[in-house]
Parts: sequence; structure tokens; C-alpha cells
Amino acid sequence: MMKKVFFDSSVLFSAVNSPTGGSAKLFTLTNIKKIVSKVVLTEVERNVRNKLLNYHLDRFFLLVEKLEIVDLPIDKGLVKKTEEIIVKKDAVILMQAKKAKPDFLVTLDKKHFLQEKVINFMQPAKVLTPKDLLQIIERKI
Amino acid sequence: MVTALCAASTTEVRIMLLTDAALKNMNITQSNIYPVSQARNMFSRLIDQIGTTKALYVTKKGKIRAALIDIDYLQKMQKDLQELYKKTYIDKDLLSYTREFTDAEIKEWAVEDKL
Repeated sequence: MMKKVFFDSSVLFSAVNSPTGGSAKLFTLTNIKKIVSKVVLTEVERNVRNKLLNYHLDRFFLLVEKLEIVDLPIDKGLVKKTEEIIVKKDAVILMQAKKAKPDFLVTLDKKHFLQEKVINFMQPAKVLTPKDLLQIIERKI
Repeated sequence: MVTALCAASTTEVRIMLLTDAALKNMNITQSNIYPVSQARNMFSRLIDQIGTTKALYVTKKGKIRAALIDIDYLQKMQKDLQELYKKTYIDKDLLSYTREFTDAEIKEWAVEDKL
């Protein structure tokens, strides 16, 4: 069965921003199921429009076509609980990542996501960077 | 200045002929409506005139059937329409759950993302 990988905003944004990084490389893999939430899409598109160039927006649309968009309702009670794990600004996405029940949560946010508290909260899913996930996948191949 | 000639659909014509208010909204006045016979004879002059009026209307058998549109105006309208219908994944209800990334974190992610 294909492994489910939840992309956080930092990964999707970086894949749009740089076609040569690990985030972009994940989009070339066909043996993983790439999932994303609507909040992530809204956040990334907002930032692509404000921070990057027009051609990046085209690339964003192109990449999103390769993702499975999961519709996860925002459970405010659960968000509140998640705020004990991570800073408020990232609580909704972390809550959605948990609800999506992925095998992996990929992120580039070392400061907030790649922390012990978050790693424990996401178990049994693993929290790691695109580079680390690529290594795991390559080792298996 | 180059101009474009656009045919109006029968439905549009009917709508435009409905009320004076509709005509006003379309910026149609007696001064920018020409019967086709007259328009044919003064086509070159109409093209010169189009830059200031943006649109001229041509009637046939008493009904507006076509419009002569300033090309810059037409392109602007097309661009505005494109913007309006542009694809987006932004859900307005979710915007309050999102934030603007800082330049510093974007740089950090780029470094972290290098293979």
C-alpha cells in the first residue's frame, strides 16, 4: 500500500519556490500518496501571490494537481488542545495533519514542527524533512 | 490606434434596448450610435474617434447589432475578466487561519530544502 505523506505549508511553498530542492523532488515520486489540507493550500497560495512571481503561481497550480486535497473540518476544541503542542499560528495545520492520519508529515519548519512535542503528538506518523523522507524512500528502493 | 469590431448577440441587443437605464449603463448615447449605412461611409473617421469614446455602436434596421471597441479598452476588459475568473484555491473562510511567511523563514526553508 502507498504511504500517505502530509505536506505542510513550508514544503509546498518551497517546492513552488525552488524546482531543485527536496520538496520539489517529492512531487516526482509516484510511490507515495501526497496529501494536503485546504488551509495549507490557502496559506501557500496567499504567500505565493504576495511573495513570489507570476510564473510561481502557475507552478503552484501545476503542483497542486499532483496532490490529494483532503477536506478536514476545523475542530476548534482540538485546535485549542493542539496549541499546547505548537504555537498558535501552526495549531490548525498540525491538528489537520493529525486528523489526516498520514504515515509521514513533511515539513521544513525546524523551529516549530520538528520538535519532540510535535513528533510525539503525531505518532505513529513520523515528522521529518523532505530530504529525510527521500533518504528513507531511496533506502527502501 | 487599432480597433476591433465586435458583433453583439441578439440577446445583448434585446437587453440593451430594454430600458434607458440599461443604455446608460452601457454608456450608449445618441452621439455614439451610427446606422450601418452611415458607419460604412465614415469608417476611417470612426476609428480615429474611438480612442476618446471607447465604444461606438452600429445599428441595422433600427437595432444595435455591433460595437466598435477601442483595442486598449477591449484588452483591459479581457484582462479584468481573466483576473476575475482566475483559478484559485484560496478559501476566504480559511484565510483567518493562515499567515504571511517572513522573508527570514522562507530563506531558512530554502537552505533546509537543498539536496
